[in-house]
This record gives sequence, structure tokens and C-alpha cells, in this order.
Amino acid sequence: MKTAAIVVDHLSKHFKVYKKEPGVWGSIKSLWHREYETVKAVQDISFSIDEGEVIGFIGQNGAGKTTTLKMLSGLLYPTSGEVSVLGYTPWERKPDFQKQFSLVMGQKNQLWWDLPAIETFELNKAIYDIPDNQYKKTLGTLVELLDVADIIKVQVRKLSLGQRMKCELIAALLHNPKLLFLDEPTIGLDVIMQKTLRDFIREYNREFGATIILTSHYMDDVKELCKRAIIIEKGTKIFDGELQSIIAKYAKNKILSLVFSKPVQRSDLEPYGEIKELTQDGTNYTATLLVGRKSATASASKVLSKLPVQDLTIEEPPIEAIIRDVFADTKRS
Amino acid sequence: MKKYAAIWFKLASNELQQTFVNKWTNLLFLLGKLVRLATLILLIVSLEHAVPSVAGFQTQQLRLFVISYTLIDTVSQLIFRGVYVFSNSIRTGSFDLDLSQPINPLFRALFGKPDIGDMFFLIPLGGVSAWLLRSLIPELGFSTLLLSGVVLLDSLLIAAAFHIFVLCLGIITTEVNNTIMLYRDVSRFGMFPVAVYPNWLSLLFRTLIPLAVLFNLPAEVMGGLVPSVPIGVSVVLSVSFFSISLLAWKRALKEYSSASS
Amino acid sequence: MTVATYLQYFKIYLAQTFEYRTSFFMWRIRQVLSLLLSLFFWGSVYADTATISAYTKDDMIAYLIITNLVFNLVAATSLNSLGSFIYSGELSNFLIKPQNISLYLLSKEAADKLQNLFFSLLEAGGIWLLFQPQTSISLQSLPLLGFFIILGMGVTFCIQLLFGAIGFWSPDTWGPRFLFFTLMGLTSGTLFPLDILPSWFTSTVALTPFPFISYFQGQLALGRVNSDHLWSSFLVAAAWLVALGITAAVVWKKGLKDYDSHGG
Repeated sequence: MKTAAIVVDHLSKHFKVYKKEPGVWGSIKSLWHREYETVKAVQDISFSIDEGEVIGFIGQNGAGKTTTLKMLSGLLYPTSGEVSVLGYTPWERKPDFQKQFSLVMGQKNQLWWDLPAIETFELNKAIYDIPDNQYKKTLGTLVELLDVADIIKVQVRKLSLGQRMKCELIAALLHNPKLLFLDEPTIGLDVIMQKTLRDFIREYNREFGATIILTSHYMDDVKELCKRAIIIEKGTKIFDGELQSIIAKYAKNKILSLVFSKPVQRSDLEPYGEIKELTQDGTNYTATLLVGRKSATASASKVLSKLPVQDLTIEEPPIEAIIRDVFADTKRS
Repeated sequence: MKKYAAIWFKLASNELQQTFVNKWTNLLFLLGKLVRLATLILLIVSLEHAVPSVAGFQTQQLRLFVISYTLIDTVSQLIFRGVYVFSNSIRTGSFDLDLSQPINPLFRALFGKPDIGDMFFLIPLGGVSAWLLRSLIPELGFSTLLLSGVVLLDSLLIAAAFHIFVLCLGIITTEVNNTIMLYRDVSRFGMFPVAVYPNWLSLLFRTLIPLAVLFNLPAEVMGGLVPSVPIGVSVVLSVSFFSISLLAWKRALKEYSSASS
Repeated sequence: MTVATYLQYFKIYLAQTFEYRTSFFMWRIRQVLSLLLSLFFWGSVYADTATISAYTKDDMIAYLIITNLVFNLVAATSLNSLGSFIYSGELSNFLIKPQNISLYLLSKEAADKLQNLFFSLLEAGGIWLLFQPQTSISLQSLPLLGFFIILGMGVTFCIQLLFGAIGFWSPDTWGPRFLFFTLMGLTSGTLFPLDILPSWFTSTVALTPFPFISYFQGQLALGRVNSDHLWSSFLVAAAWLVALGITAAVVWKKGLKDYDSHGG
């Protein structure tokens, strides 16, 4: 039987936010009087995660994902509820606990901007008490897996976003954390770099058996990496289970984006799926179709053979659309 | 302890490298500080010619206080520079990363960014100080040296306490720029002996805002003048200030709610 | 590109001042503190002497309060981060809109100066009542004082534009600023009247634009400027304004050209 790495029990977090009246007068008034309102960022969430699991946290901006992650990593004290992570209470911030996990935030960096990444690695070596030989070995493995041997000696500010993210990951993984919190790790990266990082994360999970919690905007990230997903909306948990079952139930369609070399008629496209968008402005001829998940490949090949297609992509529907549907369903039931 | 020393040296070496990366900016900063020092010296030396005494001191003895202030101020900037960028690390969330690491967050916030530029400034400053004070400091006996050590330690504890208070405010308001500058403005009163100020203010600087302990005492002990605060009182003051600041920090960390949710 | 645009900017920046209220209060307290430090120190110096270089205690107190007030108006600025604003490429967001960048900066400055004027007057008035210097300020000098304050603002605005312009070419905008503004703070005469220092110092500084940041206005208010001195000072100040204005215009023109070409 697997042991639980994380147990979360009726967790809530409320913030106070200040409301401002518009205009100069409102600003002057706010000098001596401010009104506050309470925002329920996380509201009564419970779940448990097994060791070695890779789990996706899905939700729109401001849904409460990051707040939850911050409580799990001990950055925020909860308003109420219990959390046990690797047997510790996170917000006690015991060094023994901190040496076992790592937090990577796609929009925040710990690398020293003007120096090569290797200097940050050395600093983390000191902070995490990593023995010399373990440091060398881990660094070697990570550098090889991510193919950054030359890059880590270049000033960070001269690196591309993707290269920087790779170095951020190395800095976060040098101490071989058992538990990894990844908050939007692929944000802003191009498709190829996203894939590289996804492959790496999967590899890391397989090799070290690390438990990984991932939040992302990109359905592809979650779909490729996580079997199980937790969906959070407006601070509450609205789904927890097999990701496949949501995709089957809610993501019935895929999106087919087409670029044509010549104008096409609306009637030419209608047989293949629901037309979401069609542009024919004399220079650009593009269309977006919703096609059934199962028949997507077949439809695509038919379109390819019948119409003057220049470019074609098949994509998952955006994560927001799926969440909206799930949310609508939970409210109904 | 050994671990923290190793971390500090790594941080300092990174800062040193960064200083060289931005060498022109740092050079200009150094020049600016030299100009400021030169004007200050020009002012007090001109004053020595114009006025024989100020607040019961010979005007020349003001040098002791001005130099003591400048040295202590520079050293505490050197050590506690991290405080100046703290609001930035709160706002960008890099404080979150610090918090998640197995290292005391206060250590990182307080000592995490030693100012190497100030280390270079200490060299000319030291030379100028020695020259200005050459006739003002009598030969120091063992007991004076010991007392000097004690008051310097008191001074550093108070400086640390003030900087910790600024950090606490930074956590609560996500803003330190103004607070730290306020601290610098208030501390500038310590450039002169507290006796030059009106009685109520002088009393304030000996007790609740102990600038006398922070800046005056080392000058008075080394210059063989009457201490503005009894040494025993200064020890009690500095230890209690420091302890209160640590309690405040604990409290503030608990209050901490991240920049974005 | 109408007056309404810039009026809106003016309003936004005025509102923004009060938004960060801790910042705002702290800034005001700092202004008062640095003035009080000077006043207390000089007050104590006068305990053992009647005059220093022809300044009595009352002269000195009046001088310090006035120059600090003037300095707050002339030198305080909202354009400290103009250089990084340019270098970071944020300026591009403004350039693509149909608006004039110098008018935009001027509206921003005007908002800053207006709130500064209001609060500085309150503070200076309060401190004046507290210390009650027995000096007569001639009311006739007020229009002249106002004129030289505006002249001083013109000079500092051009200087701000010039330092900001470094951002067109280099990220190192803080170093030169720090050196220059330290120099300006020391030689503008807010800490002590410049003429108590050796005369070589005073006459050197007289050739720079710095005395017009506040020292000269202080002399004017105390009635220490005769008509010859007035005219020569006016010529020096006006020459600086014209020279700095032309330089700023030329540098900005060149800067904007280079900015476009390296893609912003």
C-alpha cells in the first residue's frame, strides 16, 4: 500500500483586501479611512496525495491554486484546517522538511541576474547542506538531462527564457527533493521548450520517484504528465479524480485550426465540424473548426485531401472552457 | 554557525562579482560618497574657524562625533544592505523562495546582500578619519579598549534592531524604501552629540530612539569624553532593543500574507 | 492629443500620490526631519556666538526654512526613474500612442509639484511659527521669488530629462544620477548658506546652475541681493536654462531616433 505524501483536511485561507473609491477625492479620503473586504481565496479544501504521484492543479487565475501551493510549502499560514506534508506541518518551516521539497514558480526567479547560473547553484549547495560528491553527481545528471553544459557558465541575463527556466529547475532540484511544487513551470515558453520541460519532469518523476504537484494553464502539460487532477474554482474543490474521465466527459471536441492558400466556401467546411471562425480578407484565409475528439484525425485528413490547406494544427480546447463546463455541472447537481 | 558563514561568504563573493559587472555605476556611487564626505569635512573644519565651542564641546571635538557617525553608518549599510531591497523581494515573490529554503529567512533578509561598494569606501574613509582624529584620540589603555568593544557591540545591536524593525514594516506594508530612508534621516541626528538638541529631544535620543548609544558612545569612549549614556544603561538598552526586534520579526512573519494569492 | 489627455495624466498622478499613503506620509516626515536637524544643529551652534559670516541666529533659521521650502518645489521630482523607464522599453508604450512625451512628463511633474507646494507650505508655515525667527521678509520680493522658483524648476526639469536620456543608450542610469544629485544637494544651499564656506568654494559654485535650486532664492527672500547681483544672477540662470533646454532637446531627438532603430 502506498503512503500519503500530503494530507489536506478542511483547509481555508481568507485575505483582507482594501477597496478604493475612484478619483482624486476617493484617494484623499483613503488617507484616513479605508474599507476592507474579505476574500475567501481557499475554502474548505480536502484531499490526499500518495508518494510518487504526479498531480495536476487546475483552475483559472485567482481560483486559489497558488494560495494552496503556498500553504503546502509553508509560506502561508491557513485561516483554518490541517495539513500534513511528508509528515510535517509546513508552516513550522523546519529545515528538515524544507530540505525535502522544492518550489518552482514560473514567473519568479532565484537565479542571480548578472552572474552565471552556476554561482546560484553553489549558493544553494551551501544553503541545503549538500555534500560535495552528491552535489557534483546531481548537477552532472541534471545538466546532462537538460542539455545545458555550456549554458550554466553564461550570465543569466544573456540566456533565453527557456534556458533560464532549465537553470531554475536545476537550482531547485540540486538537493534531490522528494516533493516538487511546480507553479506554471512552462508559462511563456514556446511549444518545443514546453515539451522538453514536460519530458524532463516525467523523467525526473520516474527516476527519483518524486511526488509532483503541477499547476498550469496549458491543458497539454496536465494531460501529458498527470493521471489525476484536482480542479479548483473560486476557492473550492470542484473535481478530484482521473483526468481522463473529465476529458472524456467535457472535452468532447478538439480544435482544428486551418490556413488555406486559396479562398474556401463556408459550405465546403460544414461537413467536417462546427465552424467557430472563418476569415477571408483577400490575403489571409483561415478557419477554426470544432471536431469530435474521436473523429479528429479522420476529419483532419479528409480536410487535407479535399481543400487547399497550407497549414493545420489540432489542439486541445483551452483549460478555461473545460473548467467552466465542470463548474456549471457541479452547480447544477 | 559554520554553515551560515559559508553561505555569507558565497553571497559576498557573488556580490563582489556583480560589483565588477556593474563597475561604472559602482564607481560613480563611490565618487558621490567621497564628494559628500569632502563637503561634510569642509563644513566642520570651516566651523572650527568660526565658532570656538558648540553645546559644551570644543568645536574641534565635533570631528569625533561626525567620524563615529560616518563609520558606523557606513559599516551598518555594508552589513545590512539587504534590507534596502527587501520590499522588492516581497513584491516579486523571491522572499517566498527564501522562506521555502532551509535557512533562517531573517539571515537572508538582513545579511543577504552585503554592500561591496561600501567596503571600498571604507578605505579612503579610514584614512581620512585617522588624519582628522590624529590629535583627538589619546593613547588607549586596556580598559578603554575593552569599553570601546562593548559600546561598539551595543551600537551594532541597536543598528541591527532598527533594521529588523524596518523589515517587519516591510512585511506588513510591502514597502521599505521610505521606512529605511526615514531611519537614515533620523539617524543623521546622530552625526552630532545629542547634547546639541533641545532637552526633550536629547532625552528621546538617549532612551526610546537610542541614537546616543548607536553613534555617540563610541566617540565619547575613545575620545575620553563623558558618556552621554552610562555604559551599563547602554548594554541594557541594546540587549532589550535587539530582543524586542526579534519578537517583532516573529510576529511579522506570522502576519505575512504573500504578495499575490 | 488634446489638453484633456494631459489633464487626465495630471489627475491620475495626483491621485496616485495619495494611493501609497505610507510612502506619502513617510516622505513628508522626512522633509520635516531633515529641516529640523539643520535648525536644531545651527540653533545650538549659535548658543556660543552671535553671528556666523554675517548671519544672525534669526537670519539663519529664516534662511533654512525658506531654502528648504524652495528646494522641495524646485528639486523634488517624479522623474527619478525616467532612465530605467526608457531603457526597459516601457517608453515604447507611450510612443505608439498619439501623444507628446514631453507634455506627458510635464503633466506628471506638475502633479508632483502641486501636492508638494501644498504640503511644503503647510510644513514650512508650521515650523516658522515654532521657531519664530525675528526677520523681516519683504513682500515686494515675492513676485521675484516666484519668478526665480519657476526658473529653477525649468533648470531642474531639463536636467531630469538629460539624466533620463541616458536610458536611451545605457542601463547604467543610477550611478551618474547619484553623483550629480549628491553634488546638487550639497551645493544648493539647503544645509547651510553657501557663503559661510571659503570664498573659492562659493565663487566656483556660483557658475553652476546649483545656486538657483534654492540658495539664491533664500538670499532674495532675506533681501540680500542688490540690483547688480540680481541682474547678473538672472543672466547666469537664464543662460543655463537655455543651454540645458537646447541640449535636452537635441539629446532627446537623437535618443528617440536611436531608440527606434534598435527596436525599443
